[in-house]
Amino acid sequence: MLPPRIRRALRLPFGRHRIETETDDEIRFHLAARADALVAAGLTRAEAEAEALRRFGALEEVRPQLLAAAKHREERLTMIERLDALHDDLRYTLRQLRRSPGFSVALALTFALGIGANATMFEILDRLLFRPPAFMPDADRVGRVYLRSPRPDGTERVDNNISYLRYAELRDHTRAFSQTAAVFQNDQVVLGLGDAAEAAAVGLVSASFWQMFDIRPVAGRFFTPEEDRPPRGAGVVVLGYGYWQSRFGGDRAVIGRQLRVEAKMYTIIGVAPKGFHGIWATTTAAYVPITVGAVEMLGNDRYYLEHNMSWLEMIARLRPGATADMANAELTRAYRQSRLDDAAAKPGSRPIAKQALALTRGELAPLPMDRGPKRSESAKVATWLAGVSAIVLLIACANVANLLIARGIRRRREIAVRVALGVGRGRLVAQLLTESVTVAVLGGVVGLALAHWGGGAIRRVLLPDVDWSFVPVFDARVVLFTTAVVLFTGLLTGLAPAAHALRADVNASLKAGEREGGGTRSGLRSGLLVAQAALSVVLLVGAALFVRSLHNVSKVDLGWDPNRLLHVRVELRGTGTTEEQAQAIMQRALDRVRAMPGVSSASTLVSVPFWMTWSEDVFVPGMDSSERQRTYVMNPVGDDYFQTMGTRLLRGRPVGSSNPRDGPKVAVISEAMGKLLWKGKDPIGQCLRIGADTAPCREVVGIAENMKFGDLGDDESMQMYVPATQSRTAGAIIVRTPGDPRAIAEPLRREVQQLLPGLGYASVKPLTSVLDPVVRQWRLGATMFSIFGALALLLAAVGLYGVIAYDVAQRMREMGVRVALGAQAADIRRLVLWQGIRVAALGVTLGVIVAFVTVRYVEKLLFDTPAHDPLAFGAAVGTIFLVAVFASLIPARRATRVDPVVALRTE
Amino acid sequence: MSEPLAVLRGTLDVLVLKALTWGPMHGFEITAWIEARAGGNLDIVDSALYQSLYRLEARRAITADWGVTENNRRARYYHITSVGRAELRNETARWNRYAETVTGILNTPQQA
Repeated sequence: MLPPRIRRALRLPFGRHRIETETDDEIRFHLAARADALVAAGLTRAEAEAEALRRFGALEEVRPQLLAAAKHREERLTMIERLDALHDDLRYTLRQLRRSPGFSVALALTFALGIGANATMFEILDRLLFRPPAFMPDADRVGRVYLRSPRPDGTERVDNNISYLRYAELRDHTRAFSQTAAVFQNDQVVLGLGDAAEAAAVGLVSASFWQMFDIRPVAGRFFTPEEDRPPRGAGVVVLGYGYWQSRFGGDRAVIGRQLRVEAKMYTIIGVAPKGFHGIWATTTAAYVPITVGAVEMLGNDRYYLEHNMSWLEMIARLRPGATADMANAELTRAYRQSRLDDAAAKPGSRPIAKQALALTRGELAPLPMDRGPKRSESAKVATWLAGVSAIVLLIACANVANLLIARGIRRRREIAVRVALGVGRGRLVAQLLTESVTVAVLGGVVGLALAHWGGGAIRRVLLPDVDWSFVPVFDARVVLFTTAVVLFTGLLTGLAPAAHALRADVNASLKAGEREGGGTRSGLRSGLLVAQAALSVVLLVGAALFVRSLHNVSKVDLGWDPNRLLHVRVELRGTGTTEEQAQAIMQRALDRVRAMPGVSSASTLVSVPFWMTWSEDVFVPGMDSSERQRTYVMNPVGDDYFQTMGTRLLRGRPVGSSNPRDGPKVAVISEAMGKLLWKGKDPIGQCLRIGADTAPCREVVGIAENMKFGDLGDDESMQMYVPATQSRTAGAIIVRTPGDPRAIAEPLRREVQQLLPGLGYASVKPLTSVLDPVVRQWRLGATMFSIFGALALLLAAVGLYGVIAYDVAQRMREMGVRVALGAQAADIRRLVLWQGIRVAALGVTLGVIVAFVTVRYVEKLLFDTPAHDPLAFGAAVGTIFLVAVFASLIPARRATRVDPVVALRTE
Repeated sequence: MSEPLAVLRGTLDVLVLKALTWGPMHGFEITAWIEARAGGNLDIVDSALYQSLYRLEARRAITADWGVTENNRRARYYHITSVGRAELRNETARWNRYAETVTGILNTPQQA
């Protein structure tokens, strides 16, 4: 007897109609049979039929019930059959995979690389762009407020930092929000006393901040609106969970104790729950009311009366029913009113022009910075890299598909036999898809592991500010994403072999012998190879462009040497020292530092490139308005400043602490500044007024090399250096070391710390750390494009090798004939090599075209590198050809070793 | 002769399975087989039998296919499967235990 599956397959198609007919037939048969039996027992035909109907039950009532039962039966059976088929397919697949473990591992690893790359990039992009802050309900209703206004030069200024007064006005004059909060995070706040003192991140937040989250304190309480009122909030602090654990060992008795925060003592009132990070990606050690932080930490006691400082950020939750458009309109109206009030309150200030006012707007943008109007360059690069990782996955898919097709060809006879035996094509496709999905699942598991452990390093490079320590091994969102990717790739990959198998001609395959199995080359397979090569070219071009950019960045002459420099900050706020005492302390610290072993030179300074800018207005006769609006960086420096920074003094003499306080006022300026202000005349000896046009004349005594100060592309930074002795700001110490600066960072800090009174605090930071974020986007692009490019290349090489080697194996007979007919080894080798090169050439052509079109989108992310850089394109193309030759070389060598006798005799 | 007994729901399934241990049968043959064994003591509405058959088929205790009777009529023949045999074994054992227990209780001499 045929198994039920086959019998069912032979039946009419499954459908409502068939079930009805069959059931009716069955009922009819039953009634007839019963009537026959009753007639045989002696009833008349009419009586018998009536009795049969009676025994069956009221037909109009029973028939629908039976139909429903029959339908349910069919549905159940179909489902069971499908499960059975899947089970069979899985068993078959696993048997296939076990039979050739090397092949299976290659498939799974190929997938693992592709899926791992995508899981890694997803995790990163998710952090940057999508993941809502922990504990924040309905986070998509919460946004960050940005303010737009025109600059005098016509460009637009976009600001997420606003004054407290502005925050209060926007809060009070909008109705679209159910919650608003003012937040600010500073990661350099000194916490703790003496040995326990450390610089940590502290959040200055309004009391309303806590209401935006669905949290309860682990211990104690959060601060209340009463404790967060201008002019000065209460001196209370809520600890972050991590800081509470590391500094207080999770002791609940900390509530009520005192903690030094920056320059004052605060009462600990609560502990935030584990995993709570506010709206920041980094760990926050403590939270204080923003109204006390403004006074005590910012040192601004008129913060709630004037727009004298734009510092905090406003976040807001849309009221139910309110839309983002409503919020924007209200923010705009409130912001304009705030600006008008501000202008009206300042006597003598010019009214805001109508045009300018029309361009003044408020806006609620998504909470993640990188989805707002001020997204970082690194985020753009990361988004590109996500696209690139998708390309790597496509290449992996093409590779696996190709290998599966290759095996499919070998299995052609087997498949033909199955088709001949009546296995439906649908079932055959299901079988092939099961195979590719199974491999994808295996690859996905390995890929997830790769993403977690291997991706850790990448994550830290890409997003060093994010605290990754609390990331679970298998994050739910990442696993979900990976599952989707696995299913997608599995199905996508299975399509090609399935299409290939369906096209196969059963008759021809059954008749053909093994030796003819690979006789015909498949266009589909070559197409996949070409696509791989093309995609690899695109990635390699991207990699080359970023590597070039990074190289160009590293060659940039900064005008100072960031390597082996330490910046020593001394915090004396809250110690009650006067300016004179502070100056004296700094001088003593400088003397101590200079005397230390491992220090080649040291000086004081205030402005630090890429980190701290003190700008001042400058007045020179004949200045025009554009010159007046530039940023002039003021830097009071000590002796040896130029030598320590590695900045050359081009002409004249330096300034420093040797210039007496009451001596002649002098200054050194940067070359660009001299050119700009005195236009060809010699700046030395000229008079410069700093701060006001009534300020005393300062004589320019020297010209220093230009310094890249806030931007690597900045060729004209305006720098002015005045003697530290002639400034009232003590500043910080800069130290140059002959060796690794980190080695003496801690001894240096201790040495300086000893000189400081009470709450005084010293912190040391290598200057490369301020430069790192500046070059991050290129380092990121170069590293990741190179990694992904190398992956793509590896996959493409393996794919090419696999296909050519397979073809050669299939054509052994043909090679044997050729050798028998007198072909030389060189001819055979050329034949095989040519095959690889042809595929590569097609791929390269296609890839170069695609790359040529797409690179212009990344042009802005490059540094001093044209998007159509011939060197980058050349390198990519050369690499692909080289790889193609190497991938074909091994099979070519094998082909030359064919023994014609053996090859012709087989089969 | 006393009133025929209504068949308990579920019991019919076991009876159908038992009938099919004698070979493939169509619906009416099954009814006839059960009626012959019951000797008129069971009152089976014929449509209930088909409900039972479809139920059994859905859980793969039996399978069905179309065949032709001796009178050349098209009829749906049912076969018992290994699943059905196992079910019959279990249900029979359960039924016997149940019947014994209930009988035991009912037949305990009443205390005065």
